[in-house]
Amino acid sequence: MDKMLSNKKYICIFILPTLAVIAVMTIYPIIDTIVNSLYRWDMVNPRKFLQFKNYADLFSRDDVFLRSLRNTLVLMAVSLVVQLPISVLFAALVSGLGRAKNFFKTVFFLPNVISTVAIGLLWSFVFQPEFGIVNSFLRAVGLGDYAKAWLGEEKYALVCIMIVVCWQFIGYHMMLFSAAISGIPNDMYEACTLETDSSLKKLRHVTLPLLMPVIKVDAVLICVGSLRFFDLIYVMTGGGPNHASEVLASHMYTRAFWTMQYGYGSAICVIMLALSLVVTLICNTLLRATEYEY
Amino acid sequence: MKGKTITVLLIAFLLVASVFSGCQVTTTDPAAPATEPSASSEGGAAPAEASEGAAPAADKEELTVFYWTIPAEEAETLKVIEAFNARDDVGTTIKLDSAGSDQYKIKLSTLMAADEVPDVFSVQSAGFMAPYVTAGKVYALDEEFTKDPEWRGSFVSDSLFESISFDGKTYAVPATQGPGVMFYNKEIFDAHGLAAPTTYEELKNIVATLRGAGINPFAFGDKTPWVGALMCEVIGNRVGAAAAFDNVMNGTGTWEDPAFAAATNIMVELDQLGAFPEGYLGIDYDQTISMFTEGKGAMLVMGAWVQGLFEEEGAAVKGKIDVCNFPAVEGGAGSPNIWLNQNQVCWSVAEKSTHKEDAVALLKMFTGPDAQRSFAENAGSLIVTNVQLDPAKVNPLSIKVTQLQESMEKVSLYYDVQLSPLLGNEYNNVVQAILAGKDATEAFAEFQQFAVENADAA
Repeated sequence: MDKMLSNKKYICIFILPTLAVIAVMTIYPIIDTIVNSLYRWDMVNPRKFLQFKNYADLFSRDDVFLRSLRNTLVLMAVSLVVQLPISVLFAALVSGLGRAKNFFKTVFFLPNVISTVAIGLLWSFVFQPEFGIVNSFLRAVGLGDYAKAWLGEEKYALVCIMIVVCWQFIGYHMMLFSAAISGIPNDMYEACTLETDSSLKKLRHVTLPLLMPVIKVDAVLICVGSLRFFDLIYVMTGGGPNHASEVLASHMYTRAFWTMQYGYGSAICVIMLALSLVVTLICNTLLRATEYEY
Repeated sequence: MKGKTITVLLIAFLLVASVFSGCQVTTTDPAAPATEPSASSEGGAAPAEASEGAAPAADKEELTVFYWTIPAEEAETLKVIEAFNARDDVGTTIKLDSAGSDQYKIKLSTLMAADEVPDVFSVQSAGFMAPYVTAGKVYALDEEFTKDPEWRGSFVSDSLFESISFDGKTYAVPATQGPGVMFYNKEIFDAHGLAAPTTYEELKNIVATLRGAGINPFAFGDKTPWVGALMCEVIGNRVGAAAAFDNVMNGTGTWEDPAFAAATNIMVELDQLGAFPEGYLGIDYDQTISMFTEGKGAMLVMGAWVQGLFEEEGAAVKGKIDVCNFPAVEGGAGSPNIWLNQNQVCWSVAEKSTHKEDAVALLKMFTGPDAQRSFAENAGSLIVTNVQLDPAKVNPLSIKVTQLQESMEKVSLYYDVQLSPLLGNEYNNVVQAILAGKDATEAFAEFQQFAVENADAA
């Protein structure tokens, strides 16, 4: 078996089907999208070559695009700043729990097995102005003045979405870290115990440094995931009110399929692709310096 | 070692097999039974399989039909499909697919782009169907009308065909109409000593009374932007926006005409008076309708296509709803007799359909006396052909709307239907932005600029 897998010919044979699928399903559509982004096309009539006009329009004329770009970046930053530390902390806490560990892991992971559409509807009810839990609670404790039409107000719509995104994905990232933590040899902690009993110090000096490769991968996952965020927003706010929660993916969807500007929508896709690449590069560069081996 | 090699090869085989299992193999064997289920129906009611009920004859070919579901009319639509499938004189059996309004638009454009146009499909008129007509995807029905002048003559008015004709050719037939009207809950009105308003001032008093009593004056939500735009257009017809819109369409006017801003400002004023529910920018179309059918809102400005829902068995508001024309606005340049209207459902045939004869037969069924009577009597639809109806059976709201329409002077088409998809969508968003706090004059000035910049866009 080992001999077989060290033979480059076999490796190629094994990789080939996947490579073919990736080429057909990913690489070809990307190239096609880039080409389409240079045209004006309603999908049914002949397309017209515009050079880079779609891109120029995006940045010079389309306020909604700029707003959705800003919202996407805010969503990404908040996801990173909130989800990453909390999920590392939860993973560290849950890992030290012994037998109850699996119970908590399951509970935290639960939102990930529910369909996003169901989550969106569920939270729409939570934020519902009249009978939603949030406002009902505020009224019950005498803070009725703070009750808001959460998803219906420009100021709060995106914040509500962010809360749901964090709620949904912290469990997922926690699972990744939890798996990584269980892979850290116990000797490390035992050695550390000789120096200190403080769990915080163990987390700071043993767990965190050894988690760095996973944190790096996870940061990329969070960023790229945030860039293509769509379904929850589509269900909860539809990008509204007045584009307050519009993100790149929802704007692209509206323009490509709803108003039939397929070329323009493709240009937004290309921007999303470019952003994903840039963000991945930045994550890799920033986190490269600190890797430990054991 | 040998065992391991076999295991590895087996895994490799499974991997490859799993990759290709996703690819559908199309059988060319004519004897193979067509058991493939119809495509998914996002939203709306589940489509009936062609094979439902009587099994289709094995030698019949498929006639693909795709339409957008209107809940009140769904059962009647399926009845027509069943009746078609039961006919012996047609050579096809229907393969049905449907989707809720939003998903329908996306799916139809995708089917058009992929050149997999269904044989028969429902369309909205004017700007919505224009790109498909210019792309040559839709079959012109003029020849069929020439062959069967009686069919063409059965429609109540030639004006029904204006928005579905391009360059002198007609590309669809209307089946039902959807004028914008104002429904109100008689029970709530009676309890507070209120009567249907005839002027805007009266409407404001009603709003104040109801709000004071803790009742939502209007069932309304604008998360789905066309809902607010529809109400705004109805109001616009009372303050001169219909004429302004005509001017925009014929190139002699702009969106900066003060009538547009005046209409939205009335919406803003109603909002400030507490006419709309809390957080209405987060309430979508379905929730708006539920609010009204559950009796949680006293009035509703909406297309008449919803009225069948109010009279359904078990509806909380059954027998309690009345309909009126949205009141006149004092000093407004328009009139309540200018109606916002559209052909609610139109049916078209694909240019490349190989079963045009059967497709046209289905269109004739949808616009024939049996189906039209059934739609009017059972679904509360406003029909488009001259059919004798039994007043005892027809939804009283339909009769009332028809009576109200007797004083109709002019019809103005829903803006998002008349405009191109891009501008129609943007107009709806402009109304939403104004309701969210943007200055109306400024918003329409920006929209005018947007319209100019995108005049040549798809």
